[in-house]
Amino acid sequence: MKPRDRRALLWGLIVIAGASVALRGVPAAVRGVRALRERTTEQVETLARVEDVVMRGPLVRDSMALTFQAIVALAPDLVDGEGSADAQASLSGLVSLAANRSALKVVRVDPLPDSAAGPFHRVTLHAELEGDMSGIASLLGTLETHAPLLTISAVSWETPDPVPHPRMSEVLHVAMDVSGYYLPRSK
Amino acid sequence: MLGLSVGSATVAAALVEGTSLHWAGAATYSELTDLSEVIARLAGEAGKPVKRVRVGLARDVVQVRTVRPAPPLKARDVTRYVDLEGARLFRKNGAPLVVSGALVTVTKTERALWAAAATEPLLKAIVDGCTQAGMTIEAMAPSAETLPAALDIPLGATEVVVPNGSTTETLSLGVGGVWQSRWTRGLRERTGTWVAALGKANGDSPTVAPAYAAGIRLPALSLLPDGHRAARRRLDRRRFAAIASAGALLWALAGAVYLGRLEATHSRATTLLQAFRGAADSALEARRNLNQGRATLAMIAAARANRSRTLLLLAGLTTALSDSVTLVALQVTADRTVRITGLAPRATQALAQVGRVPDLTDAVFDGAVAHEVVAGVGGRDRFTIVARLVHP
Repeated sequence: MKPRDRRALLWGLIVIAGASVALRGVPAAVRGVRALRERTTEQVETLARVEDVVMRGPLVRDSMALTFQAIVALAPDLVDGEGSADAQASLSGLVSLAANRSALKVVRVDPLPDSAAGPFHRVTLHAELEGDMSGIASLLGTLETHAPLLTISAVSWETPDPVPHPRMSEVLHVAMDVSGYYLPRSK
Repeated sequence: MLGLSVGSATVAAALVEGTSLHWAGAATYSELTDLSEVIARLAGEAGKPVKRVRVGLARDVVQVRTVRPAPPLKARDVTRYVDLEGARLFRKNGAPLVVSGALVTVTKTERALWAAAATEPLLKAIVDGCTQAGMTIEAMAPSAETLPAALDIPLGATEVVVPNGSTTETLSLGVGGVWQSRWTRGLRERTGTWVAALGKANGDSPTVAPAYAAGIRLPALSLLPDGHRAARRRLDRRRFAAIASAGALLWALAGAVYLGRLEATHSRATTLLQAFRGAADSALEARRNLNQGRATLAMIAAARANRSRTLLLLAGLTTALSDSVTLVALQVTADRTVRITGLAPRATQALAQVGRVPDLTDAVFDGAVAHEVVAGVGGRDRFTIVARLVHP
């Protein structure tokens, strides 16, 4: 092999190697560096957030103590019961008692499904009653103004006879959904 | 920078900085073998160590030719053309010649071929002298090309006359510089005056001026011998390679530093995250509990705020509706829609009254209003009104 041929061969190899580096090596290196930069940026941002969270830890714990005190203070607003059945029974008893005191006749009480609301569970029942307007007003006042905290999410009433006989007492059919909160015992 | 002017028997040197003349000297020589030594001696006497030198060749040791208009050549082909035409353009006198050429713009539309030649032994002697003195030759060309730099020439002058001894050199100036030199016997009056810097030459300005001019202006021609040119090209290539290598190395170094910093930052952040893991988990748990607790309190507060709304609605309706209106049914759904069914002498009047209840909006009839006769009461409109209950 003549020196000229050797030189041509060498240059060919150099060009191929250079092209390989330029077309494959450089893009791969750029991708690698870019990925490392993104990872680093993410890590640094995460670290900043973590440092912020850790630094605010004492403040959060103070606020948490106050919040827990406020939650404990909610005890009178809760319906008695450690489980769904207990709570339904308590709520049913409360509604029946209030209906009796308001001179309303309880036609039926049906439990509705519970739902979780943070540490508390929400217990709901559907009640149907009969009575006069003053009794309904008294029942609503009792349920919605006294402890425990009960809310009436839906209510309807109708009168079968809008113009009653003067000697007969007014009769209204009332249906309402009553909800309260209870603290279930953790298993 | 040292400017040298080499004639057939004299050598003048001028040490310049910018356009200031710091030192000037002259010496004579008789043989070419003495020339190297004379140059080295002059460089040594300059008072300051000199690394670079530009050489101007006096008119008696250089031949110059002008071809006007210039043949149709590209700038890069001029030297090869002058090489090929050297035998026709210059007298050889038995000594090999070093030639050079350049295209000079005479006017906006015309160019001239400006060529020069000098004997190779003389040029080699000059190169040897400069090399012995440790100086690098930056340029070597006829003094005619740089000499106008030593004169204050009237603006717009196209000819410069420079008398020297018993001869006169007449230089033609174009837009691109000197493009012709005519060397004649006899003395003519000089064009312009010597520049102020040559005032330090103590009346020897005509001798020092070519050296001074060579020192302050770079010529277009280059009469460096071939060997020196090749060496210079090699040196330039080597210098370029060194600079390119240094540049590449610096880029690589910068990249490595950047990568190193990235890696170090990533590693440090990862280590700190590991260290903070326990505290962060605990703090995050506390924050989750706090958010949950706050949500619970907000939920209870909302429930408390919603209490008694049915009572308020009843009170509002009782106040708003007149005694002649009889409610048959009332429905308040969980999505706060209120549906009122009743009997009234005029349904539209009942609708207007319902619209005045503070907590109700968007009150409209639901279906058609039917007129019926109620026993014991008389004619009544049976209506159903739908409205939205808003939170106070």
